[in-house]
Amino acid sequence: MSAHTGAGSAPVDVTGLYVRFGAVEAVSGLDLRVTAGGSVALVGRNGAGKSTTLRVLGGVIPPSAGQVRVAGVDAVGDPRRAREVVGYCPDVGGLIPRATPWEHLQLAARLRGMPEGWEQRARDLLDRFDLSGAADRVTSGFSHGMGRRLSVLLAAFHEPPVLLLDEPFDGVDPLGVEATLEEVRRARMRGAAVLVSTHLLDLAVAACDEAVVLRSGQVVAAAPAAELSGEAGRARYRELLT
Amino acid sequence: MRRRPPQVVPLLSLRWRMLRKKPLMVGLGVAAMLGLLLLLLGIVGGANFPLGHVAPQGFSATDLVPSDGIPDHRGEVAVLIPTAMLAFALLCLVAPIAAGGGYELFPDSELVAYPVRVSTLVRMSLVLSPLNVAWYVQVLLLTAATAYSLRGPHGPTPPILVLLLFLGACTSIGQALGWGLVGVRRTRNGRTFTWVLLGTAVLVAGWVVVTDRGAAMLDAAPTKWVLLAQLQAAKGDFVSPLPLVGELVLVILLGYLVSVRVAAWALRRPGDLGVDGPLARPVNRRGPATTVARELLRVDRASVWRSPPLRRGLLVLAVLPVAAAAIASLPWSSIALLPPLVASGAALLFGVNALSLDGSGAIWVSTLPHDPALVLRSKARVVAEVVSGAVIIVLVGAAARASNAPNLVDLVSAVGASLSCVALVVASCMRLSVTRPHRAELRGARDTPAPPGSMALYSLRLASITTCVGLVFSAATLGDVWQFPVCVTLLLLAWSLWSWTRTKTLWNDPEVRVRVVTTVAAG
Repeated sequence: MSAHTGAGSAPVDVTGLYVRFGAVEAVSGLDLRVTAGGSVALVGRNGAGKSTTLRVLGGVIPPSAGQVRVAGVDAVGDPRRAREVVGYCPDVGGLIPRATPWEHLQLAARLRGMPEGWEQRARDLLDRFDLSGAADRVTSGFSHGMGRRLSVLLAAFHEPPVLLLDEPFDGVDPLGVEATLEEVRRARMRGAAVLVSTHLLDLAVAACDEAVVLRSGQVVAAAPAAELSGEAGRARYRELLT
Repeated sequence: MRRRPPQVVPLLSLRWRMLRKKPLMVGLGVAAMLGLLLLLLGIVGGANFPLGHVAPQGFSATDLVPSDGIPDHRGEVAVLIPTAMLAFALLCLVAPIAAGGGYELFPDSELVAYPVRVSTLVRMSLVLSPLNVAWYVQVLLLTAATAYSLRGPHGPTPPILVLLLFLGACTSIGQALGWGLVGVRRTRNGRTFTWVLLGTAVLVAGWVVVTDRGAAMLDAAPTKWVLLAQLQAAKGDFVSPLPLVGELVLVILLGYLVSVRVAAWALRRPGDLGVDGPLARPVNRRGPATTVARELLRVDRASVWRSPPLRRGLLVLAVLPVAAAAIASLPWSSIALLPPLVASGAALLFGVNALSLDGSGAIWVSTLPHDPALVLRSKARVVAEVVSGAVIIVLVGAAARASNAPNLVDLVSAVGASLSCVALVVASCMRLSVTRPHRAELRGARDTPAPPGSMALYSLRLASITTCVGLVFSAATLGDVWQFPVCVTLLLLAWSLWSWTRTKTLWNDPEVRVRVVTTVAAG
């Protein structure tokens, strides 16, 4: 089953994705497309394969089989080029413990070869995510929510054509949630494809216009996100989970 | 009243089960058996080693142990025992301080949800004390030397029992002191106080070195009373040593009880680390580095200097070996032994798991577009900087206070030993970092780069390699062929380069990188 979010160009194009860890098959033949300007929520129970899918798209782990293209780049054949076009917020941590947010931004700008003037974009993002006051403190002293906000900020920093957010709302306060939703909106407006993995159904609905339900590494349903809102939507979602 | 459930044994058994890999479990089991066997062999061998004879004008063994009026080598060995005991006592005091208040079976963060008693933490730390090569080697040497030099009509057992009580007392006091320092350092004033204390210790050590009072201080060491009690016990006089034996037993018990109390105080004490500590203080912002490699290197260096356990370890490495070498005033033939000892100690700070410096950020770094070899090279360079820095400091300190003038072979051997050890240790560390990654926060005062069992095996592995290298170069100083140490150095450098190349090839494999990155990031 595949989730098609439009007939136009697809910055995220996954076909027949398999990921195996020894005897465990984390993702089993997943097909997924997200068009430019589109946003898809990946939802499902723990261990459904959401984070693994995002890790493959983010270039963290290679797939066992299947085709993965991000912004037209073959992520399997040219992972380095794929990393240039992807912004990825990992589900856990994702921050160098004894580096400051500014040092993270500096490293990202250098490794991504960002042009002069990146500092202004960095300052704007720090302001928007309310992290300006902590920009020069090491991240190991951060609260969980602050860490999540910084991870989203780093993923969006270079304005990638593919934005992957894994549990971006986990433990984040309402202002942080608003900043993240705003960043998703901005990314879509500039034509990026956004993929959000979350357990928070209401926020998935708020951030995305499509939802894909995963179970045991496979897509079991794909529908407009709005259909999962309200009591009826939640009841349908619960049915899909079991 | 309900009996409190035991905690130490279940936690030890959980840690054992968490080793998971059969080869590691077998390796640890074999290492433990070998350790015990070596200890027994040292005692039996020492007690049966030929006594030999010395010229009457030499050391008079009869001053210490009457041996049928025939002077032998026992006296020469016995007079060194109080100094060796003093070194052991110093190690027991410094090790828990360097470890931030005792050794951890599990990091604090992993036990936070469980009602683990403070006494359990102290007992676990005591149990882990022997998993330290320096602790074990000193015990091995002291027991063997005691068995050899203080054998009496009842064999080596009575003086060894006195020795074991002394070792227990030192270990127990060391724990109390280490935990006390953890409590003191929880506030800014406390941290300042410890810096003042350290400065004073350095000044005193400097004064001892400059005024040549080292020998006099060693002669006045209270450990000579322990030797006296050992002598009395060796002669079959079991009454005279009783007061000292009683005192040592009391110190062991009091040390344990005080450790529990002090640890409870230290862990309960509200610190100011949250609002005023290093984590809350902003660091100076610097401009972008000129290259990608330098940017990575800058982050890695900061990761080392900003880690409390690493900073403290570096400080201990910078001060203690150089002070010991300066006070001991070693001959050049022994100086080649120092770089290997220091190099393996420096590597154990973080080098054996260097890729854990990125912590959970390793995943994020792996999603940035870059050549993965740069990350490995940057980590290797930081390890090399730390190891070579420690080696250079100890070499300079020992050379400045050497008891004789060096010849060409001495100089070539010392430099060769240093270069070889740095190269070997860095190559071994990077190999271990890629093949045996662990999740390590290196944030808390007692954090280590790997679990205790792995650390024990790593320290054994590194110490074995570097000690062999040191002995080869030290032996080279006995001859007058400078080409020999040069050839050995070139050989070892070539081997290190080959090992490093193999590690780089391994790291280039995406699946290996994934395993390392996900392990250091999330366990």
